[in-house]
Amino acid sequence: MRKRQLFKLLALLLVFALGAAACGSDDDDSSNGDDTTAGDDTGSDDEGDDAADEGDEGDDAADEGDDAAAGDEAEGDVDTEVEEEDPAIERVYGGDISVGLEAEATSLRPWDDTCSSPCYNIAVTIFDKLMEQDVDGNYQGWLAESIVPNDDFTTWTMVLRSGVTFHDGSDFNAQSVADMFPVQLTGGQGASSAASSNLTGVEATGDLEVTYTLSTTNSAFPAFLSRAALGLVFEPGAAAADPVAFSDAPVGTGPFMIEKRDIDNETVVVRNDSYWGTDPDGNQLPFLDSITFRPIPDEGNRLDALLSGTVTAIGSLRQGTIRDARAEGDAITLYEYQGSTVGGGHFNTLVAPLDDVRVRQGLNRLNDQGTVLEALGGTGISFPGTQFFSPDSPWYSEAVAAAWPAFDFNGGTALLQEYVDDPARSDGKAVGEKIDVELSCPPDPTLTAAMQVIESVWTASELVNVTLTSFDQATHIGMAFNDAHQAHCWRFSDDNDPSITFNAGFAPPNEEIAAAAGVPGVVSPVNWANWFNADAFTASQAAIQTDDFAERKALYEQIGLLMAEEAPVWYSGYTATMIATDPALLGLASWHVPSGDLGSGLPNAEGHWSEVWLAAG
Amino acid sequence: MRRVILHRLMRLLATLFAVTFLTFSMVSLLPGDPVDVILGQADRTPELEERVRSDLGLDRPFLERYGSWLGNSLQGDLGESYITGQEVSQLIKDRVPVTAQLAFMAIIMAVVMAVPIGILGAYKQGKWQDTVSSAAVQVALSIPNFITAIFFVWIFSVKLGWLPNSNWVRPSDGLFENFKRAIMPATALALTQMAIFSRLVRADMIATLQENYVLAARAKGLSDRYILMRHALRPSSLSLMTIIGINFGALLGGTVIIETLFAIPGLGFGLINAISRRDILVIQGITVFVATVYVVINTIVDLLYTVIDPRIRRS
Repeated sequence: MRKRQLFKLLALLLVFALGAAACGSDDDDSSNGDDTTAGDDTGSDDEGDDAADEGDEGDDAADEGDDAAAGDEAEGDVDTEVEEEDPAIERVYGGDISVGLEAEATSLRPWDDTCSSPCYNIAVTIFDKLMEQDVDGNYQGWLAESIVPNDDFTTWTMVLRSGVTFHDGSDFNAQSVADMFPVQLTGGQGASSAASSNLTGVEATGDLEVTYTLSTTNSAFPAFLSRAALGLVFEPGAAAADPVAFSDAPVGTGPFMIEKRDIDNETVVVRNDSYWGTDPDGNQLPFLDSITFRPIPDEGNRLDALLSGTVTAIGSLRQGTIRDARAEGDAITLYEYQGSTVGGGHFNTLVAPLDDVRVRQGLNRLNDQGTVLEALGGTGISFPGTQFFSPDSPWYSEAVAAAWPAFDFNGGTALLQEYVDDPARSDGKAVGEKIDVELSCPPDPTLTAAMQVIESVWTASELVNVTLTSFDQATHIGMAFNDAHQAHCWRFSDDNDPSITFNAGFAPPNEEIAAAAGVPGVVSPVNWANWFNADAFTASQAAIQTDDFAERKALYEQIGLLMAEEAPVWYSGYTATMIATDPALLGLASWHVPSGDLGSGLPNAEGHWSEVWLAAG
Repeated sequence: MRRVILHRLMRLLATLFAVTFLTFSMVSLLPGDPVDVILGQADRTPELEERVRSDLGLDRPFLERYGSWLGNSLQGDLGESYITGQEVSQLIKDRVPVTAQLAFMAIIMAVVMAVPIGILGAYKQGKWQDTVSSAAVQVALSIPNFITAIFFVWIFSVKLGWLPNSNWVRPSDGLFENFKRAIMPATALALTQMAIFSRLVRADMIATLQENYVLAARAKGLSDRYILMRHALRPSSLSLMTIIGINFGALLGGTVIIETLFAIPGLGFGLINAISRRDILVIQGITVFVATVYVVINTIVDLLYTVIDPRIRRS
């Protein structure tokens, strides 16, 4: 009997020991447990619609009173500086690499499908762009050699590079670009971009000369030619003949050609031996023989895949993964980037009580960014947001940073109190009653933690009833489109020309407001906050009437100051992203535009793979 | 027998009809719109939205869409993915072998481990062998398979570098490479199954060992091994057969987390992606396929009862 009891005890201990061994974690393993759940979210994140998910931004820059001063990077923050690869290192031809991406590029039809980080990584190997951003954020020609506007920026004349052929051997010329346009108009993304850029016609006015005609002035039009929908060059005949088949066998002019497309498993591209491009030293591109892109949705497993040598490189938009990757030291090479994408959320300003600026200002002052960034998962990775531009951006405004409402519990509470005590309060409640706010985020663990921080501070004012809700990404975005939201997590802006975000983002949100503003028919469904300010709208329109940088910057600064005044959004931090590689993989960050200038680096973990090589040995 | 099969077929059709209708209803009722997924956060006009909606047939009433889908499905046309344009039937065809391989490997491994453990537990009931095996089984049952999988990855991929933790290879591209990639996920799936199966075998075996014919066999001086294998195991495996059938069907649709973790392009990975993309016809196609397999397997298992147990056949 005693023997049996002893065995029972031993068996029990075994259960606990095995359970503890399996569930517990040591330092090396810490990423795994965390990221499994994050991976579920990633799995649902698909490619394309991640702007609503602000779970991966910023981290600890606001670390307890250690907020980064405007324009400075706090110690440990992501370094976005793009550096030239050492020219003394021998460039090596050959080799095959495998790249782990956070999701599948569901299809490769630039005119039709949303194209975010995973898609871009694949797309720029197959398709060349017409224009590209250089390291200073300027737009330079890629397949275009030049682009010149007329006096009022309604007509743009582009001269194309000669001697370029598509992967099927056909020539790339002005007619190709003209023939792309009808195809682009058939797709959701192409039609949308054409409308946003005011593009109405594309005509071949010479063998290599293309004329773009816009319905109204747009001085920032070249920016659209650097984006997927209008900028990626595809063979129009193949695309028009069978758009579905084209997705599996895309034809472009890029440095690599598609060899295999097995959706949700692998996309293999192989060297295009006829590629026109060279690096600044005249070396024929690309260097690699082939690249295999694989979707690995789970963040922890993707990093493990790199550490185990299963893949050669991985991308990530998650600060938790950056933190874990940093911990690996020299075992991997990290290319981190912190651009102008900023997380936070928007208030639906058409809905009471968020239609009252006192409430929005009050809630913003009760946004403890430092603690929120901590909850988002890391330390020393990014810094708090104050505007749509990161401190590295040429568009960044010190004035806006200074004007943005900082965390001020008493100040915020006082503003809310003023609203609550107002007999004419917009929510129709009795004086003294708490306001009700629904705070919604996609179901990411770090996001949930961050929202709980916000909820706790708002609730601590004793003036706000907060209801936390969580819907999957597609639903979350749909709610914003359909105005079925209140305080809604979001990720704003990017490193493109500001007009792309601002013009649609601050246009009248509905016909009634448009008519009242004297611009009937000018309605934007992507004015997420439904915030309309006539001065901001006018400034956004004025900013595409001129190509003078100082003038444009002043106009965007004006919008930023108006936003600081009326607080239609709140911010957490800027989004840090990374590509991590095997140390033998070189040249990733220092890709060049054809003029020889450095390219814009790796925003949003979007790699340019033509100048990448595997170190000898 | 023919009547039984006919009856089963009727049940199968009724079940499938209910499954398709319910899935279609539930997916249609989900908040979120495929049009939003397709257009993303691009600027858009109501006309553009309407055009995309019309292209997808989403502007038609629910019942009309369902009726149209059902009619086409009966002719083998499950429609096309809203997002990729792929034919759903082709998509399923590409993915079934992947998930089936995992499920098959998991079930085989589970049975191979579970039967001896179950027999041992029953034969040594109450002794230390039973206690230890029961505890081990309890551990296997308690740990979610994705935790086991992460643990495997840490050991066999990161620390030892023996096995790749992603980069699925189809058997046609290399059997050994395929096996290297399948073994960790399959084992993670197998451990839970093994725990369930072994508990079942143990319980059934204990009951069988109390039967008179087993006592008679013992009285005749037959060896324990002979009795266990020839007289006790077969009648004790009826429940096991049932649960293998049910769990194989469940695994076809239930490997979502493991497939997502290891980036394996099977049905589960496809299903989770389709749900997040609101790709209704893909969700519908995979669900109907899994439901069909599930019901068919259970029907086969029921029919196998009569083969395994003569008492049922006679009755």
